[in-house]
Parts: sequence; C-alpha cells; structure tokens
Amino acid sequence: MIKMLLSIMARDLMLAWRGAADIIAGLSFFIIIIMLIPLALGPDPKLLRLIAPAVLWIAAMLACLPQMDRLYTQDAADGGLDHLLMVPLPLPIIVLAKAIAAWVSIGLPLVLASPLMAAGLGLPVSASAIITIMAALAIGSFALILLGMAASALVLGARRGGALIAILTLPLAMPILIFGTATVAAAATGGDVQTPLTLLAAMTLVMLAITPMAAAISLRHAAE
Amino acid sequence: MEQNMLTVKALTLNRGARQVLTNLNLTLDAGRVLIVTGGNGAGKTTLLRAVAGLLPPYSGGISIDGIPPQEANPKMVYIGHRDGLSGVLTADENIRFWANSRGLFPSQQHLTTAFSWLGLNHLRGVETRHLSEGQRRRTGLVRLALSHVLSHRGALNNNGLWLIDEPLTAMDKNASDQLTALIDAHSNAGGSAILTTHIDIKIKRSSLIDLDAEIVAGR
Repeated sequence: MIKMLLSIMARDLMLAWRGAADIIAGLSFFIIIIMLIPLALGPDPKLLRLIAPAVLWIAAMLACLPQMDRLYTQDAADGGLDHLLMVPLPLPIIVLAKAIAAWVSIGLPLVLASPLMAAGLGLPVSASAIITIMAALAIGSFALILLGMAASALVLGARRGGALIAILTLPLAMPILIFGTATVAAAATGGDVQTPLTLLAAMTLVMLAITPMAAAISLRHAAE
Repeated sequence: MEQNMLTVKALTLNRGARQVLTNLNLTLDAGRVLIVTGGNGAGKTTLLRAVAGLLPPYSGGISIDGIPPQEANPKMVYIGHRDGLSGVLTADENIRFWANSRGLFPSQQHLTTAFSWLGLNHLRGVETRHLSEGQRRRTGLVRLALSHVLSHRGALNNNGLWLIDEPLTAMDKNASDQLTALIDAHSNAGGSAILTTHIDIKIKRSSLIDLDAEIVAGR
C-alpha cells in the first residue's frame, strides 16, 4: 500500500517537475509581492519589521492559491480522475498522498525562500528565528494546501473554478493566517513562540482530519 | 465450469434528473464478452461507469464476482472515452504509474510485451501530447494488454473484467485488429469484457445487447 501511494506521489511530483514553470511562477509571485511592499511603503525599517509577518503570510497564501487550480482539474479533464478513483485504496488516503506531493511542489519552495524574504523585510536573522519562521510556514502552508485541495475538488466541473477556490479557501484560512503571523511576530520580537506555533499546528491537524474526507466525497461526485 | 462474472439486477441509472437506463437485467459469464450498442445517449457510457463503480445506481444492483463495484476495483480495468494520459508524461511513464498505483509493479519485460500487443514499443519514450489521437487511444489500451500479460504470467490471480468505452474511435484497421486479438486472448484465458461501440466488430465468445431495443443476441 505504501508503495502504491508513493507511486501516486511520484507521478504528481514528476508532473510538477515537467511543468516547472508553475512552480517558478508561484515562487516568483511570492518574492515579487514581498519586494513590492518596501517599494510602496518606503524604506522605513521599523515600519517594515512591524508589518513583515503579515506580509510574509499574505504573500504565501496568495502564491499558493493560483496553483490549487491545477491539482485536480487536469486529471478531471484528461480522464485520469477515473483511474484515480479506481485505485484499490481508500480515497481519503490517496487525497492525502496527493496533498503531500502538492506541498513538496508548492509549499516547500516558499519555505526555502522564506529566510531570504524575512531578512529582506528586516526580520532578525538569528538561527532560532529563521527556524521558527520556516517551521511555521511549513506547517501553515500544508494546511493551506489541504484546504485548497478540498476546494479544488469541490469546484471541479464549475466554470471559473479558480476564482471560486480563492473565495472558498481564504475565509477558512483565516486561523492559519492569524496564528502564522503571531508565530512570526513572536519570533521577531523574541516573545513566546510556542503558543501560536502549537495553535497553528493544531489548525493543521484539524484540516488534516477534515479535508481529505471532504475532497474524497467531492471527487466522487465530480466523476458521476 | 463457468460462473457469473457480472450480475446486473433491475438496474436503473440516472444522469442528473434524467433516467438513462431503466430496469436493466443482465449477466456475463467469465470468459465472455458483451458488446453494448445503441444510439447516442442510449446509456452505453453510463452503464460502463456504473459497472466501474464510478456512478452509483439510482436503483437496482450490480455485483462483480459477488462483490459491489467499488470494492471490485482490482478486478477491473476501465478504459473511458478519455484516455487518462498526462500529456507531459511519456507513454511508458503513464502506463507504469497507472500500474504501480494499482499495486501491479510490472517488470520491464511485462511492459515490453504489453506495448508490443498494440505495436507501440517504438513510441514508449514519447510524451503523449506529441502522439496522434489514435496513438493516444492505443496507449490507453496498453493497460488492457498489461493486465492480460500479468494475469498470463501469474502475477495477477484473476482474469478480470475489462470495461472499454468506444475503443474503436480514431483507430485504424490495424489497431482494431490488435484490439480484437487482445480481447480474444483475454476471454480465451477466462477473462470477461464489456465494450461499447457503434462500429461493427467481430469478437469471439461475445454477445450483443442493444440498449435502444434491449435485445440480447449471442455469437
């Protein structure tokens, strides 16, 4: 069963790799949003440092969103979804495997770019702060992808699915944004990191429990 | 001894609010092929998708070897009218990922034999978006050949049920002969198949059902 799941993930990663333009576009989007803020605000380091956590998280959310669209739409269009539904494994587990693969291609690049972005926004570059920021983004972006995945399964077959995904995902992503920014802000000021980070992880666990089921049900409906 | 591979009892299928099939009964024995004909909208694809477990019946029942379709996945190979190939993956990668996700893990030798059933070994390394419509169609059918090769070599413990939707679309004479030979070999080894078509196809050990008239005739 593990080998079967790994092959599903390997396929998604290979698809992502062949379409590397999407990954680069997402990453560039993340970087550009963050670079635009100082240009618009003026180079006041204090102000920048104050808003840096919010900028980092909003940029990460916006960079993830456009990529959610392709998670299932391509499979649904070329008939691959039928084969996925006929894989002899529980569908929520397949969905989860695909979410992990999606995180590697969408979330991980943002996590890896985040230290540089944090430094650019004037956040402290101590090892512990950087590690906290990366951990928070890693956990939070996984939750975002789980949500986006459920939304993209839900809107299969709808026209203008991309816009719908944003409308469905963003309100539900608010707790992730709140605890995510709180974690980064705490890391920046040397405050208590553990509480917001634990709450962020708790939110991700809630998503982990709910979204694969929701996505699986949506996918079955989409195939009918 | 023959046994029922597929039993369909009082099956009614809806697409949205529209009733497509009403009160259909049929059985298919192991080693037999059912050819489903009927005009556009007669419910051929709908019937196949229901048997595949992709569409829940409105009423009535389907059982494959005594179990409901959604649990019978490992026994079935479904070839829909869309070929289920990712354009940026090669023919070989597409088939390999499909097989691996079903837990089949074919060897290089298995794949070579499977591709040669449809005369496609020279195109295995080509990204499927560069293939013609007919070549893509045939690449999709390699799934059938692979399942045949694996059951023949004892790697699969059953000769499953093949569900093939309009296999002859965009295929030349040569390809349709290859498919016919493949289905004959499958049924000869005790496997079953349902295929939908508007085009006349000569297949051994087959019966015909016309969904417009619901006439069942043996061949």
